[in-house]
This record gives sequence, structure tokens and C-alpha cells, in this order.
Amino acid sequence: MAEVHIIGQILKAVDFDEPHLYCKWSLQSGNAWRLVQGELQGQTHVSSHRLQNSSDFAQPLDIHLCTAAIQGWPRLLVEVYAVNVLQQCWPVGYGFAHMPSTPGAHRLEINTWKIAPNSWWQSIKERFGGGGTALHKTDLLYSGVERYKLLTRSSGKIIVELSLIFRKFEEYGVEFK
Amino acid sequence: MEREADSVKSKRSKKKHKTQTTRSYRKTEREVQMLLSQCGKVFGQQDSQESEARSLQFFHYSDANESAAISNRDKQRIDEVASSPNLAANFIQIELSEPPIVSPQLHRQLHRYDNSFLYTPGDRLHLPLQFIDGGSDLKPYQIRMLNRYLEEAKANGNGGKLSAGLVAQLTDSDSCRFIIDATLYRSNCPRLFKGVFLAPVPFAQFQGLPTSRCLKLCLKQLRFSAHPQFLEEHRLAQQLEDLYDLYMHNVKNKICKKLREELQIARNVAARLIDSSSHQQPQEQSSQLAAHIQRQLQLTQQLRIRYYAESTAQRVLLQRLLTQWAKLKELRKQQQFQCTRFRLSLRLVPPADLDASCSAWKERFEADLAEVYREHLEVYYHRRHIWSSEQSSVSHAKPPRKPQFAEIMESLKAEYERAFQDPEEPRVYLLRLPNDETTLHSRPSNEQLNPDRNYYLKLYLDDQFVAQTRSYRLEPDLHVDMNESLGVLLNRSHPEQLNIWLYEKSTITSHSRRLALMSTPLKVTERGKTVQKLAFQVAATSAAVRPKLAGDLYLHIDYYCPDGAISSDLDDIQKLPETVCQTFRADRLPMAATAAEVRATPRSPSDAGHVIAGPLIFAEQQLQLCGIAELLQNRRFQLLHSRHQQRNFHTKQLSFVPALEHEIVELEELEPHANVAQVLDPGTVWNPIDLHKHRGRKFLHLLYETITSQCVQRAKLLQTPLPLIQLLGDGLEQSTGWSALWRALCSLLFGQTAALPREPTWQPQPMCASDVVQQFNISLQVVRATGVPVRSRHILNVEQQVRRSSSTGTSSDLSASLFVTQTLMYSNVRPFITLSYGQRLCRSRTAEGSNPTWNEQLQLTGQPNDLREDLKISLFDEMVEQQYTDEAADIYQRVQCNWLGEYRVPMSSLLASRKFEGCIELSMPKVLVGYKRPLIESVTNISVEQYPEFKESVHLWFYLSIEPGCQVTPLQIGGLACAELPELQQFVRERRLELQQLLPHPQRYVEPLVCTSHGKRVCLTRLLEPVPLPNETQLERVCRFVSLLSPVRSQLDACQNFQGVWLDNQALLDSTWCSAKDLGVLLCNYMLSLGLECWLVLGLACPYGECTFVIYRQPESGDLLLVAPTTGKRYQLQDIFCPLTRVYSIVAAKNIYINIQTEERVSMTNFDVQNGECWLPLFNKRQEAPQCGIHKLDYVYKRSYELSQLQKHIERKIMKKISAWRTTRKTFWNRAFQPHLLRILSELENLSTSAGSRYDEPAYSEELEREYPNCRLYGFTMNFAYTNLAAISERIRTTCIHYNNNADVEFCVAVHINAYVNDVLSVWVFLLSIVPLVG
Repeated sequence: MAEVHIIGQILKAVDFDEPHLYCKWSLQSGNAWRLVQGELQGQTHVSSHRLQNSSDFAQPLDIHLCTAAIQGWPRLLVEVYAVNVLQQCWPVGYGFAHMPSTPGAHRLEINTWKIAPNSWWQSIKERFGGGGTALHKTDLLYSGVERYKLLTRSSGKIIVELSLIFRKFEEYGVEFK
Repeated sequence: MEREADSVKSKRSKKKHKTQTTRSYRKTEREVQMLLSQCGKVFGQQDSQESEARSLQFFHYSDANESAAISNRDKQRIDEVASSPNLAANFIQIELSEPPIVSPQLHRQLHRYDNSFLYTPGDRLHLPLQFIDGGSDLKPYQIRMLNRYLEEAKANGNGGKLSAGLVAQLTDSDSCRFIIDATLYRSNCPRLFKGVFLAPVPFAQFQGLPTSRCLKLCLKQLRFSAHPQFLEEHRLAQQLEDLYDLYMHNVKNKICKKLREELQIARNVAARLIDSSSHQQPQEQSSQLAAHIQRQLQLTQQLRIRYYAESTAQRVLLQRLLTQWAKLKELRKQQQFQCTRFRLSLRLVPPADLDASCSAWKERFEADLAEVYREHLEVYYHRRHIWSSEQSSVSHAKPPRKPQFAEIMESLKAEYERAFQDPEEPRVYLLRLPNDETTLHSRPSNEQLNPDRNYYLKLYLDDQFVAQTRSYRLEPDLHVDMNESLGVLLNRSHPEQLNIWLYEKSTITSHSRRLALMSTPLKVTERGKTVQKLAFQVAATSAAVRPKLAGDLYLHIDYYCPDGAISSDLDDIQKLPETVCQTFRADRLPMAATAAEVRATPRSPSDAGHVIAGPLIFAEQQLQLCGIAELLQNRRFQLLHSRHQQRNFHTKQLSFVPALEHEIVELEELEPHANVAQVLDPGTVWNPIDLHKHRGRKFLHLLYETITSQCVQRAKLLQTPLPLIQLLGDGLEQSTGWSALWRALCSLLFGQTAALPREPTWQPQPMCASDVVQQFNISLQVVRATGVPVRSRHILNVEQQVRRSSSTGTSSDLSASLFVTQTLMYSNVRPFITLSYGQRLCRSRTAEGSNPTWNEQLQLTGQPNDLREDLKISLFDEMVEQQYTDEAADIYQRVQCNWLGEYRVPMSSLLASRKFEGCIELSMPKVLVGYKRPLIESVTNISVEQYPEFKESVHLWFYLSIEPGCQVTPLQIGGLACAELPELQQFVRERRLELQQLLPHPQRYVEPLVCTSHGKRVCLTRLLEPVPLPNETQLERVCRFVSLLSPVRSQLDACQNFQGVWLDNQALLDSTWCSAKDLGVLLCNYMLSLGLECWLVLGLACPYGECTFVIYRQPESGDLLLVAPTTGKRYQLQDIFCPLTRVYSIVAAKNIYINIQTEERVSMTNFDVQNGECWLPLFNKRQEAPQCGIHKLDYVYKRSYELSQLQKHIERKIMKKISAWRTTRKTFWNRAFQPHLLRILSELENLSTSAGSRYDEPAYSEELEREYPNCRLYGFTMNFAYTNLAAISERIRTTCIHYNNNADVEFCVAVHINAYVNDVLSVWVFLLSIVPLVG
């Protein structure tokens, strides 16, 4: 039983235009992967920074997975949402990153994108009323099949700090140097 | 080059319209040409203008019609090379509208994979070069080039001639330039190939080019020609059939007629030729003509011979047919039955004109004779000629004989007779009659024994199973008529063979036997059907197992390509013969050869499996580290996962899971495997009955809770008006834009709260009364009791004996008056009353006699820790036992309290109804050892009639109240969905308003729409309907059964009231828990199904509060009797001891009658519901009461579980508890009494049901006392419905039998369980304390 411990935190979101942000995250993996312990998805608090253009989440991750295959290597999907005064929220960033395949400490920067408004009216609406366009299916986040239909705009970054521990991969001929 | 140049000139002159080209195109073209001219010298002298024209022509060739001639010259060089017939096809035209031109003759070539077709370039020159002297010093590449052009010329059908110029050019010794040619050549292939995608597949499995083909099979019939049931008749009939088919085929094809016509033509031609030869004189022509005539004559002869043969054959066939038919008929007649269907009808047509036919025959014969004679003569002359020529060289030879005309005529006549019919002979027409079932006569009975045989076919294409026909019965004529057609659409793979297996379906087992294989190669045919006859044959293995079988299958095979184009597009690629294949692949691909071999031989379908190469493996699986199952079976993973899920008690708390698997193995050994699988094992840990009771209780609680919360929610919804605008706002929550902006502005400016107030979701709050009632104060005013049992003589004697034995007693008791002694004699009981709740107890003073008066108030304060417990009013007898020690001064008194009876009041009902008062009947043990019923004669001299209060049971006058009471908020069932019609609801609403004016006591109105266990409101009358009985048909037994269903007593629950939930029979009987009112409904329903006239009474009863009773009319006497469903006791209507205290209304199945009498006492109430002054019907003719539909009418009772285990459990529990309670002394258990007690108990259940409510004193106690005179016995029986073990021990604890301080006391316990259906158990416990008498 090869095991992976993912320990770390979703540190912060930087370079987003909107001040109040929260982040929905989920860890996705293939069929051969099984969760042993921990939470596979979650949502951070709403956060804003007074001075900088960053929102600190410091959302802890502690996931223990075990696997029977390399296929379907876990990946972290993030969706960043902005909140306005009216307690309305809309997505301002989608992104994902594969877990690094080497043990040790890592700092991941997940570049995110959001759906571009496709009309003048929508851009106005987004600016004032809040509420951009959200993905109908979240599998667009990671699958490239229908992505070409999207018109997106790049958004900020999510910074994730992780340390990974791999166990017993060497039993199956996978070695980490 | 010059040629090209002048062609361009001529072209330019002829050019009328120029194709427009863009500037950029011209520019690039010029650049390209410049580059070309730089690198080669070919186009060096050509100007750019010309090159542009060339390129134009290149691309726009076809539409420049007038330039065709120029192009011919222009491309002459290419012509020389390619020598294509159509120049326009030299280029691939980019013309989308027209289909590409393809030479039609090249379609569907036949290819063979063969070495001979492969062209291997060699260094040897293939063509002779005549004009070149130095042919030998041609360079190898020149030779190869020449060969190549030669081959190409051959292929193009130019006679394999190369033009001399080309040869000269090629053989030019110093020309190596012809390879470097800047001109763009395109070789022409008239064939258009279509791209075909083949999935990558190992070579062994490659099956050929994919096309789709359609195979249609029409299975006509199967005919057995060898079969165990095969008879002579079958053989004949089949032969006949075949003959007939052949004959009909011949007749249809008209071979004879055709031959005859041909012969006639040939004769005519010959005659004409001979005629012409006589006219024409020229020598050389005549010789040619003679040869021609000779040939023609030979042809005529051959035709004639063939004609004769055919005709003979047909005639013979006909004759055979007729003889066979005669034979068959004869056979059928002989064997008295007919099992084949074949029938022929003959029609004889005599020649119409005998003379004409005779003359025609003669004419023909003569013509033939003349011809034959001439031929013979010719042969003779020929031989003669040869002979005469040979005569010169060889002398010894006979001259050929001249043909004899008579002989020839005779032979011809014989031949004629054989071949043709006589002129007088009538013509025979044969016709096969259609099958007719009536012609079949059944066989003799001894052969009828053979069962019907059924056959079916399985079709395989190569080895692939395709289809299976239905099974068909074998007809007596050994035909299996199928007439089944099926179509297979084949994509990709093209099977080579069609294999059909014949199966015989077994009549006994489901297996069927494979019999024979028929196979035929599949070939693509035209869209027409080919009829085939497949024969099969199976040799007999051993006579019993497999008989010899043979037969034919008639089928139509239609194998074609569904879209003709595709099939014609693709060449037929045939396999090379096996031997050639072997030579090809011998060393390289041995695998393929074997595979081909395997495929070539048809296999039985059973062993088809092993040929299939390994299963399809997804790459993902191959790349896995280990199987998923292996991962899931990992012990460590299981532990971690179950800990994560938090479901398992054992792994939930696990703080340490070892990292290595071998450590876990030890761990696994330590803890049993069960902890992972199942924590709760119902078989060992829980008694199934306990589980049932527990679950039933849980179910009921859940039901009550759910309905309560639902009610509250609905009521709340009804109360609050709909917040329209807010709801609208809620709906617009998603909307963004200006409205949101406006709201934001508003919130900023006016400080309004922007967040919309949301409806808080209702949290189900447990209606726990313990929150409400913190402290309560129960006060019991005990007034008096009657009929307290007295100590039996036995105990009395003992006491006296003790006293007497204590020598000179100073006590003055005995020296009292006669009256006193009399009283003492018979009413020697000192009863007192205790009031207990939980651990608290309060007792009254002791009174004397069997009709004591206390008139005392008992107070009990406490907290209702758990409303599950009952408040108990117990009756005890205080026995003071004086112990005398040696010193006279020390007198010890030992007080012994003997429990005589009790009365239980559910705490919740007490809290709800605040107070109970009046007279109650204590529940006394059926057998009370040591005591006996007070005899009225012994007490007083007054007759029974004048002593009205004296009853045979113990009654207690009391007043019980509780402070503070608890007002149960009634369930707001009004909000629940109503199953009744709106008119009815409206009617009920109006009626309620009406009635509330009319009623003397407004609480008597019971809302007729009640809530069922489904959470819907229905009319009360629907609840009354006959339901299935629990295997009991006796009224007493049914009452007993109902009384044993236990009313749930837990929390103060509004669901138990009339406003609460009314269970249907299924919910009640499945859970065996209910509220008191449901018992009445059930009992009433049972009585209805027993056919009794009965009503349901809604009212107040003493220990239950709101409760239902049942009134029924006794069938024998016609009296109305009141039944208490909770106890099963019956009361007269006038009985003042009836626990029913108030009557609100009476419910019948048809109507609800509401009590409008001012009289409140039940005993004085008029129960005549037809009396309009006393009872007011709710429904009238205008609005009938709805009926039925609530109960489950096909309810099936379940058998109770095994009881012996439970009996042991109870017994053990009681013994353990009593031993535990007697902390100071050791408890001895006497088993000697047990069988005796058990016998008594087993009789008691019957007694209790048959004797009804009467407090009969059975003779058991006296019997016991008589049997054991040396012991002082005290004991009693207890009877209750089984709920759980804790309840039993609680009941026993209240009897205080364990408070026996006598050192020598021994106890005995016996438990008997009487089971009804659905785990309704009546538990009988006999407890006995034995004190042996010493001295």
C-alpha cells in the first residue's frame, strides 16, 4: 500500500482585483486512490488584507491518501470567490495544480483564471452589481475537452505550501531521490 | 526544348481569354522559376512569361479546351514516358463537382499474393536492344531504368514497345542527366484507393479488410435421412422427393427442348452450307467450306447424341419416379399408416391426334435415320480411304464393312424407344400435392411411445457464435420445418465459413445434445438468393448414446454487400494456397501460419474459448502498482479507513495504527474479527424479542417525534402570514445588477439591514416534561379499602404456635372479648398502603382487618427523573413476629411486610390530568400463598345483598393529586394534510361551531379529524373496520391479547391524547407499543371482525387519562358490556367500579355520537345512542361518515421468537437481582418447589382468559400449604406483558419479597411465558419464600 501524506496550507491569494475573497478547494485523484484520513474538500473563510493586495487564508491541509497506481495523481482544485457588501459572491478564479511528485516541502503557485464577460453589459454588471460568470460544470477546471469554448481572463494566484511524505512507493519500484 | 518553345508560341496565338492571376501569385511563381532556372539549365532560356503560362496550364488544364492540342505537344515527353491514353487525367483535377474519372475496366481486379507478381528489379536487361552495339556496357542503373519503362509500357497495354527515342536517350552512354529532371511528373493511377482504417491488431488476429456485408440466412427445413425413427417409408418418400425435385428442375429448364431447337438450327445451318457448297465453285473456298461443313455436321451429331441422352435421362427419371411412387403407395397401404406427407398426382393426357403424332414421330425418325445413316456412311468412306491408303504399305488388313441400313435403323429405333415416348403413349404430368395434415395417419401406439424430439440449430460464423434458432419439433416424416430467417450485418471481419451445429433439445434436462456440424464456405454473391442444401452425417458411436444421423438442411443464403459501391471498390484479395504461405512465412512468422491453420479447420464451439488471446487489458490497469482489491484488503488501510469513518466502536478510538503491516497482523490476532464486521450481534447479545420490543419502541418514539415536529412546523406556517415581498426578495437573491445596487444604496443611506431576514429553520425541540416540572408534590388521600385478603390459617396458626411456644405469654391479646377474637380469627390482616415513585416511598399507618380505613394523606415529593416509571400504590400486610430470647426481658419484634397488591398510575397521565379520585380496583395476584379471600360469612352475618360495597376484589377509595400539574400543549394537527374531501372538512368545521354551543361540557367535543401514523388527518370513523384477528377467535382471548400490548409510557407526549396520533393496526402490531387509546381501537376492530355489535367510547379513564373503551352487545343476553382494553376486563354499564370516569362520545363505523347528557357519571349515563336527547350524531344523511381505508386488511401476524432462552434469562435475572438486593444475607434458592409452581403457572394463563375479570380464589395456595405443612409459605404470582428485563426486576423490587430477615428463608422462583403472535408475551412469575418451621 503506497501512501501519500499531504500536509500544508493554502497560504494566500494574491493579485486578485477583489478585496474580499474566499477559496473553495478540493483534492481530486484517480480511481486507484483512496482516502485514508483527512478532508478532501473545503472552503476557507473570507479574508482581506488592509494594505496589500492579498488575502491570507492559512487553510490547513492534512490529507492521507493511499494508492494502487500512479495514474490519477492527486491535484488540488481551487475556486476563488469574491464577496461584496451585499453578501453576494461570484467566482473570480479557477485553477488547479498537481501535487508535486517529489517528497519534501513545496511552494505551489496556482495561477487562476476567470471567465471573461462576453458583452459590455456583462462587464458593467460585473463591475457594479458583482457576480461574474461561473462555470456550470466544475470538471472544466481540470479537463481540457471543452475548454476551448471558454474565453477567460487571467486572475490572481493562490499560493499553497505543502510538504509531502511518500511511503512505500519503493516497494513498487517508484523511488524518490 | 524547341518543341516546347514553338508550342508556347502557338498557344499564345490561340489564347482568347487569359486566366486571371493575382500579382502575388505571379511574383511567387516568378521567384520559383528563377530558382529553378538557377539550379538547372532546363528552363534557362525560357522567359518568365512562358513559365507562368505553363503553371497556369498546370492548374487550369481542363477548362482550357482549345489548348488541348497544344498541351498534347507540350507534354509529349510525358506521353513518351507515361503514354497515357487521356492526357487530361495526367493531373489530378481539383474539381469538386465532378467525380474523379476512373477507368472502369480496372475495377475489381483479382489479386493474389504471390512472388511472381512482385517485380524485383534486376541488372539483366529484359528487352533486346538491336541497334546498339555496346549494349553490354550499359550501366546497371540504365538497365534498371530501361526495364522499368518497359514494364510500365507493358502494363499500359502499348504492346510493350518503348519508343526508340526514349531508348536512345536512356542508352546514351554519357547521359546521367535524365535522372535530374526539373519537370514535375505525376504518374497516373486510374484507380482510386480509399483509405481504410484498421485498428492495430496482432498479425495473427488480422482478419482481412473491413467492409460491411450482410448475411441473410433463411433456414427452410431440416430433413433427416438417417435417424433412429427412420422407416422404409421415409426413405422412399425422400428418394421420391429428390427425384421429383430433379425432375422438376429438368422440366423447368426445358433442357430437351432447348437441345432440340439447337439441333434443328445446327441441321439447318449444315443444310445451308451443303447447299452453298454445291453452288460455289472456287477451289480454295470449297475446301474451306468443306471443312466448315464437316465441323457443322460433327456439331449436329454431338448435339443429337446429347439430345438423345438427355431425353433418355428424363424419361428414365420419370419412370423411376413413377415406380417409386407406386412403391410408396404400396408401402403405405401395407403398413396401415402414413408418416410422410409426400403425395403426387398424375395426369395422363392421351395424344389428341393420334395420327398426327404418329406421322410427326415418323418424320422425325426418318430425318434422324437419314442423318445417322449418312454419318455411318461417312465413317465408312473415311475408313475406307484410310484403309486404301494403308493398303499400299501394309497388306494385311480387312476392308471396313459397309454399314447395314437395317442394323442402323434397329439401333436407332431402340434408342428412340428409350429416349422418346411412343406416339400412342399418353403424356404424363406430375404434380406434387401440397402437404396436408389430414393425410397423416398416426402410427401404431407402440411406436407412439417415442417422445417428441426437438431440434434447434446454432449458427457460427467461423467460431463466432451468431444465433440460435428456436427449437422445432421433429415431424413424423422426419422433417423439421423451421422457416426461420435471420440477418447478420458484418463489419470488418469476414468469416470464411458458416458452421451450423445441430442440437437436439432434451426433454428431460435443460442440456441439449450437440449432434452434427454442417459447414459451408461463405462467398459473396449477387443480390439474389442461392438455395443450398447442406448435408450432414454423423456416424453412430455406440448405439445407445448417439445413433447414426444424416440429413440435409435446406437453406437460402444471401450474402452480399449492403452498399454495392464499397464491394466493387475493393479488390478481391484471395489467400494464397497454404503451401505458398508456408514458403512465404516459414521462417519469419510461424505464429501466423498456425493461426491460419487453426482458423481453417472448423472447431466445435465448446473449445473456441482457449483460442482467444488474453483478455483486453487497459493500459491503466497494467500500469497500476497493485490491484485495487489488494489495496482494499490491506489491513492497515482497513483500520485507518474505518477509523476515519468513525462507524466502528473499536476502531473509532484507535489512536495508534502501526505503520508496518506485519505489526498489524499481531493486532488482528488480539482483537476478534467481529469488531470490524458487526458490533451488534442480535443473536447473542440481544435477545431477538428484546430487540423487537426495543425497535418497536424506538419506532413509535420516532414516529411521535416526527409527527410532532411536522405539526409544529405546519402550525407555524399557518400562523405566520406569507411574507410576500420578502419571499420575492429571497427569490431575487441571485439577481444582480441594478436592483442589488439599489438595495446597497438603500442600506447605505437609510441604514437598513441589507441582509434579508431569513426564516429560521425549525429545530425539533424535544417536548420534555422534565424541563417543565422540576419538582412535584404528590399527595395521596387514602380513605379505605375493602376485601383485603386475610392471612390463611396456616400463617395464623404459626403465629399462635410461636406465641404458645413462647410459654406464658404476657400479652393480653388473647384474653379479649369473643368479638375481638372472632375478628382476629378471620380478619387477622394489618394492611397499610405505600405510595412509591422511583426510590421514594411513603407509607400509611397500619390498619386492622380486611376492610381497613386509613383516612390519611400520604405526601411524596421528588423529581420526575424518568417518566417511564409508574407511580405505585401498593398494599402491604404488616406481620409482626415476636422473637423471644432466653431472657424474658428482651423481646425482639420482627416486622415482615407481605405484598398483597398494587395499583400503578402512569406518571405522564397523572401529570396530564392532575388528579385521580374515586374507587380503584387494585390488581391482586392471582395466587397469593399464605392469604385467602375474606369470606363474607366469616366477617359478618349480614347477607351479601345488604353489603353492597363488598366485592370480591380489593377496592381502594382514594384521592390522588399532583402539584404542579403539567399542561400538555395539544398537538396542532390542524396544519397537517387532510385526506378527507374538502366538503367534509367544511362540514366538520361548521358542525364543531354548532356543537360547542350545544354541549354541556365543551371538552366533550373530540375533533373527528384525527392524525394517523402517516401524518395525515382522517375522520375517526375510518378507524373502525374489521381487521384480521391474531389467530384467536374467542372474545376473551382477543381481549387478553389486546391487553398485553403495552402502552408506551415515557414522556409527556401530546401524541397519546385524542389530538395525537392514532396508529393503524400495522404500526401498532409491528411495534407492539401504542398509546392507551389505540388499544381501544384495535379491540373494537377485532370485535367487529368477530361479528359483534360494538362501539368505541372516547372518554376519561382512571389511570390513563384520555382513553378509549369499547362497548359491545353480548350476543347471548343482549346486554351492553363495557370493556377496558388495557386490562381486558369487562364491566356492566352500571358498575360503579368501572375505571371509565367520563364519556365524551361514542364512535361507530357509520357515525360519531357526542354525549350531550348533563350527567357525568358513567354508571348513570344512558348508552342508547339512538336517543336524540342523550346523544347527538355528528354526521347526518346529508353528509355521510367516510369509512375504512386506514388499516391494513391483509396484515399477516408473525410468529413469536423462541421463548426458552428468554424464560431462562428472566429467571436468572430475578435470581440475580434478589441475591443482589439481599445484601446482608445469603440467598438460598430452593428448587424443589419449582416444578410445582410451574404447573400452577401454566394453568393460570388459561384461567385468566376463561375466568375473565373475576377474582376467583383457586385452590392452589391451600394445596401448596397442605403439601408442605412444615414450612411457612408466602408467595404470589405476577403477570404482566413482557417489555424488557429491567421492567420485571422493577416490578419484583416493589413487592419487597426480598426483605425477609429470617435467617432460614429460602426462595423459589418460577417463570412461565405464554406467547401470542407478534412477540406479544404474557409473563407469569411465581415468587415464593419458604421459612421452615423449627420445633
